[in-house]
Amino acid sequence: MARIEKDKIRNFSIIAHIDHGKSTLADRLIELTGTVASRDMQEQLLDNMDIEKERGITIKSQSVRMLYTDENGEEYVYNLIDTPGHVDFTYEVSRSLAACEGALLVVDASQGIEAQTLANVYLALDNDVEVVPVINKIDLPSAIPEAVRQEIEDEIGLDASMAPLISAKTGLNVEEVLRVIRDYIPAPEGDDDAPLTALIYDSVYDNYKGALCYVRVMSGTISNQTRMRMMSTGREFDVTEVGVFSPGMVPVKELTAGEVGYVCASIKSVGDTRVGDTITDAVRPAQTPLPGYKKAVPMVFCGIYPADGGDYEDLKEALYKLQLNDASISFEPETSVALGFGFRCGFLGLLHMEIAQERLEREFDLSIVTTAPSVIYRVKKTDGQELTIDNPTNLPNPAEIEYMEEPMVEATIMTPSDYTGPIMELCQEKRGTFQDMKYLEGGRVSIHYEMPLNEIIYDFFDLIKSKSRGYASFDYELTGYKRSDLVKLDILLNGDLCDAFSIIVHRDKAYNRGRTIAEKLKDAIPRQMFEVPIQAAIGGKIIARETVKAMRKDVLAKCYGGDITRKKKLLEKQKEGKKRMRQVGSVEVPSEAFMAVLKMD
Amino acid sequence: MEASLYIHVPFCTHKCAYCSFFSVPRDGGERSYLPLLVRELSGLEDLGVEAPTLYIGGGTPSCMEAGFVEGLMAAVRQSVRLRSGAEVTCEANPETFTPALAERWALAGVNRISLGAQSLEDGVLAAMGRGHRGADVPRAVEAARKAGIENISLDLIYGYPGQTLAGWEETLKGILELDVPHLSCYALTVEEGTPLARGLALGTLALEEESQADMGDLAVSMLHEAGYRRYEISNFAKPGQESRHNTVYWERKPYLGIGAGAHGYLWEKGGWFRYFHANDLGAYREELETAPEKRFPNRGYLSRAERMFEAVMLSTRMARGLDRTAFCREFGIRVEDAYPGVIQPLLEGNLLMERGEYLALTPRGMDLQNGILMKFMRDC
Repeated sequence: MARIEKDKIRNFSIIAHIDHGKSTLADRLIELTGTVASRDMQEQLLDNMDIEKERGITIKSQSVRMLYTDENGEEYVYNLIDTPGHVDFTYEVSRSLAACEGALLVVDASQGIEAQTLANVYLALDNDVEVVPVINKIDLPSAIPEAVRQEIEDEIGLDASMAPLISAKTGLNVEEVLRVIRDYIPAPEGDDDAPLTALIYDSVYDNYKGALCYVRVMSGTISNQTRMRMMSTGREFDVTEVGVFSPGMVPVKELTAGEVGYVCASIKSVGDTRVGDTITDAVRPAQTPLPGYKKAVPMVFCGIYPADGGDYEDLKEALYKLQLNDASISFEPETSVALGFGFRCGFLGLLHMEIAQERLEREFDLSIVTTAPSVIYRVKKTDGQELTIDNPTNLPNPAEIEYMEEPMVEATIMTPSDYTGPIMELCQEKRGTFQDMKYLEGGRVSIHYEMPLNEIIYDFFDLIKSKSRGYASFDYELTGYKRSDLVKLDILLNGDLCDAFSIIVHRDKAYNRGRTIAEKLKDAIPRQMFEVPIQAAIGGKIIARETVKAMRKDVLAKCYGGDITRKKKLLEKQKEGKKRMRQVGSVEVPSEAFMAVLKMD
Repeated sequence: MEASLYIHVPFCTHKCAYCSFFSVPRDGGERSYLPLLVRELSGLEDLGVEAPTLYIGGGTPSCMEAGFVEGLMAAVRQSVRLRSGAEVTCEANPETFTPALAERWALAGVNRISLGAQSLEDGVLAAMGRGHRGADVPRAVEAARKAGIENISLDLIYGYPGQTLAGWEETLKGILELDVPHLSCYALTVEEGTPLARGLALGTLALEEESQADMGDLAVSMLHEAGYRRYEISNFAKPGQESRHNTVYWERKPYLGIGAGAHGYLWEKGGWFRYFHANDLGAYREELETAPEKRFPNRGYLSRAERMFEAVMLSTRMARGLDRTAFCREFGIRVEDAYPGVIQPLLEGNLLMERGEYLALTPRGMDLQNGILMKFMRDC
């Protein structure tokens, strides 16, 4: 195959709010260009994972190469890099954008622009990526495409005059999208004969091929003859295969400047394929690496433990494998008095955490117990020492603490103006500080609050949705740390401290949280052979108390005509049920109880 | 050899809503059942069994054809030596236990009747799917007494959906007036696959844990007041009137299980084993046709650890409790050493008590036996 002319290549991604039809459009483009025979098409082709398909969200970037023949018979190579839409995965978006010259901005013709879309558009513009709007869902009765076109021009200042009006669902005008990609997204530049620089925008682990790098070649050429070098570490590998996604991995002879594909070099560990690193040619290396990315920083932490203590090794293995495909997950071993051996895991946000937990349970068939999520607090001790705390258990004695700081975020909520009041009340209640509020076209409001991150990691997103009947959207950005009056709230079961329930909260919130947790635990902990007092405490002071009454009857009444075996089987079954219980001091606590307290009403 | 006998008669006119016991409709097939039992019994002749007790349970033995128990007793006597003064119990339902049947059973050698009274409230009986009314219970007791059978036990169930504490109290009062020597009070157990379990799952019925416990406490105090001793978790007797047959189970003495679905416990050269007959008439027939040396089918030999656990599980059902000397003699280890760290906390928690050589559950321990037994179970 002859080298592809640079001006026949287009590298682009799609930016869209959740539900605005990004994956459906991607599917149509793949179908229209004949990349996948229509009999092999399945809905939402690029969302590989079950969770992605079920929730209708994209978690992991995916790439696909399409061949487009235009009306003049000219053939183009289109590389689509699909990106996640949720705020937790912004880092994935920024990586994908760095590998592209352009991005399609998909906007729902009935809903207009959403907060998260804006964030990603600005991300694209900051990366000098050409943004081409596409107005989708024009088949909906509530579609107001011209108003949305106007909104794009007013809100973002983009020229939307050429924006195709399409329905990805029905396929209407999708051809037009292929043409605007050709006309408005710039072709890549770069010298095939210059020293090799290829940006790693993602890496995955393949059981057979080892760690694979997804790359965008910026200059030079890479083939299976190349001895490659990672510019950050200097480590070298022999390339065994290069290829493109169409959409499965298809080997090609070489990847030249401007192309997108994968590189395989029998790399054992994903740790060696750091996302954002530059691959060069060991024989004729480039002098300077490409600008990389900021490393994704986990913001939300929680303890993950096997529901059955015997599954510790399996959990470790699963976390390791999960991390191979999602380098933004961090984990290290920790021990809990209540839960035994487990791991403290870091995530980019709440959704990210939830998805990781779900994948552990589904893809690895594990039962896990999760502790309450925490953020990273900064502690200044009276002796001048400074600590960062991501596990409430490690908080020093209050007497040793000079002051504490907690992470703050700038929260942006976009909502139809009808719900402004309730949403502002919610933000106030979550210790938010009002910044400003802007009324937008079409009866929408953009509200800004400065909020503590620890107030939004539990249920804030759900509450926003319920207060706005699902219409409001929410985005946040970490802004820094602020001093705050924080305390550690402990839970005692039958007088014994249960570390897995400890949380760090603002003093003003501690009483209510303590009472709520105690009430929830009262329902979640089954009756035992003795009465179990549940106490919430700050320092040594009890602030709330509930009691699980003692069980009164737990006995097999009958002896079944001498069928002793049956009696034993019933006991064994009951004993089996107890395996899902954790012994906290003298109290048996079901795994579910640890989850139950996470959901705050 | 010494062994008690349990004979299972798996026929009922209809199935009660809470029952998961092996029983089949009485549809004519019951007529071919006696020959099968006779066949099994005659295969035991060479063992030289001496039986201290015999228990004919069901099912509903009283719903069989009139001569069934007579024929069965004749066959038993042909194959087994019933010890003199042997306790011979037969189960009956109040509606089918007529004075005439009582006469015939007494003549055949039945000297103890266990009546499935369950309740005296017609509404509760109807909900349970029982075939009798409250008034049938005293009539049946009277029938037994007329026939000379004074040793009568009544089965009662409490905690049924819809049953009230006041209604239960009325039932207990009515039962006490009958002044029978033995009562079994069973807390309702929900068995999988029963109409009751389905009703509970659908939410059309509901259990009230608290009220069931209140009913249990009420029974214990009222029966105690009336001179009954709670000699086992669910069983109450006037002094000296305890069920000798059921005590065989709890003391882990050997018994033969005869009939479809019956269970037995015996010793042979290989050790102690439990065995059972198929829960199916056709399969039971096939089992009988195999060679005589395979006459105790579906055997499960018990390991020493299993026997130790059974010793704890069964002996602690009884008020007298576990005989520590006998335990040590049988297993060569003290029970405290066999289950290290288990007994002391239970004593301290007032669930277990020491009475000389015996370790017994306290009244509260009796209500929580399952949880206590868990502590004796190995984690595996």
